[in-house]
Amino acid sequence: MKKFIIAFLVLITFALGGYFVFSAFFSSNLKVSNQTAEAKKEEKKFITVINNTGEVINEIVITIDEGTEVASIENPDEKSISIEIPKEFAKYKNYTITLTDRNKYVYKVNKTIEGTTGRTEVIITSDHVVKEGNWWDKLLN
Amino acid sequence: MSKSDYLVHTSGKVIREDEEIHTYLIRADSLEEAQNIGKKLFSNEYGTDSQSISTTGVKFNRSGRAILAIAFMSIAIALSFTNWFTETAHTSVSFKPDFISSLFAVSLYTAYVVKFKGVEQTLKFWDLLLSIFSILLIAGFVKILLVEKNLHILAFEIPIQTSLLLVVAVILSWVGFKSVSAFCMLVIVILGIINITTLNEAMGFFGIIYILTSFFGVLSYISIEPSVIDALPYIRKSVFNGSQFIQSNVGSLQKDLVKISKQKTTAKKRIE
Repeated sequence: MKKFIIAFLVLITFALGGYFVFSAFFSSNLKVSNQTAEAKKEEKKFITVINNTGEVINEIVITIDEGTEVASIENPDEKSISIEIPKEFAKYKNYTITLTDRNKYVYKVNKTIEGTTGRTEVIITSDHVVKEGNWWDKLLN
Repeated sequence: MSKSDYLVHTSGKVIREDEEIHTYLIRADSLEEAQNIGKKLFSNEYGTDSQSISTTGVKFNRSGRAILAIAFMSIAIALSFTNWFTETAHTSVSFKPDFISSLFAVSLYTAYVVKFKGVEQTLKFWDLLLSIFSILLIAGFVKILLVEKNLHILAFEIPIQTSLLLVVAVILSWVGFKSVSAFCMLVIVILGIINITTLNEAMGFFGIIYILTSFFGVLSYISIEPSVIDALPYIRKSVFNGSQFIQSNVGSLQKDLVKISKQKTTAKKRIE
């Protein structure tokens, strides 16, 4: 019985360890600190999204053309957040930055960014609302 | 002279029991007439001599109180349908009535309708409206206790639904696994308390509004509902039976735990 428990615990440890290693090495993390974005702006293309809506943002999605998703970040806690544009999409000029707040209000900004490197700030305010969310929740929270 | 609503309480000696109490809602021209009608109704229902029936009555505006009850309940229900967020939280906590909680609420309300109120009485305009609001309010109460969320442990997401756990606990108790049932109920209570704590933080001032409007909504409803007044002794009895049921399960769990610890000690002594 003791051997079985030990074997079970070893198996769990390996499974969890494997999962963390996989997450750390193979998942694409496009969210970078503003400091890193500024330091690497000569090598890569970054968009720094500044949340001036006064709301908690649940999702940021950057798209090109008709809606091809370039990058997405979930539940950012920072007021300003830098997102790395993957090099495959760096040659594009017109980007659409879409934010969804926790009350399901959707904000959208179209931005033209020339060049394949650099860091560009995009300020999102309550004026950029394109879809109304749950006004009742917004009122009471 | 226009007719008014009267709430007439009657009591008298009946064949089956020493004394039976019944409250009627009667529309009459005067309190005296309402009391006489009440006596007649009681006499017909229990076969008692109308001389031995005593009555007390009070004139009241049923529609007015029904509107008041609906107004209070509406506020409470509207608050229960809101998604609540703690200051910087991305996900909400809510106790919106859903299918399972409404099912629990309807079951409870049906038991009350069948045993006390009667289907005919429930289908009248104000009663029907109040039934809908009461069910939604009860479903909200049930939802506060029945947690439905995803628990994040390390990198894994474990869905927790205490509504299913409650059903499992009741079945286990019927089958005879009282200790396991008590353990399940303990988990339900702990998760329910955590949910209440989170709601308390998220709702803030509106939490007080919810409690007050629910309380006064129910109170206003009870004040115009004669069958609730009659049902109170039975409700007390049900609560007592429920607590006895839980106590018996917890007792079994305690006994089993003591038995296990004794077995462990004996095994250790043998090894030594």
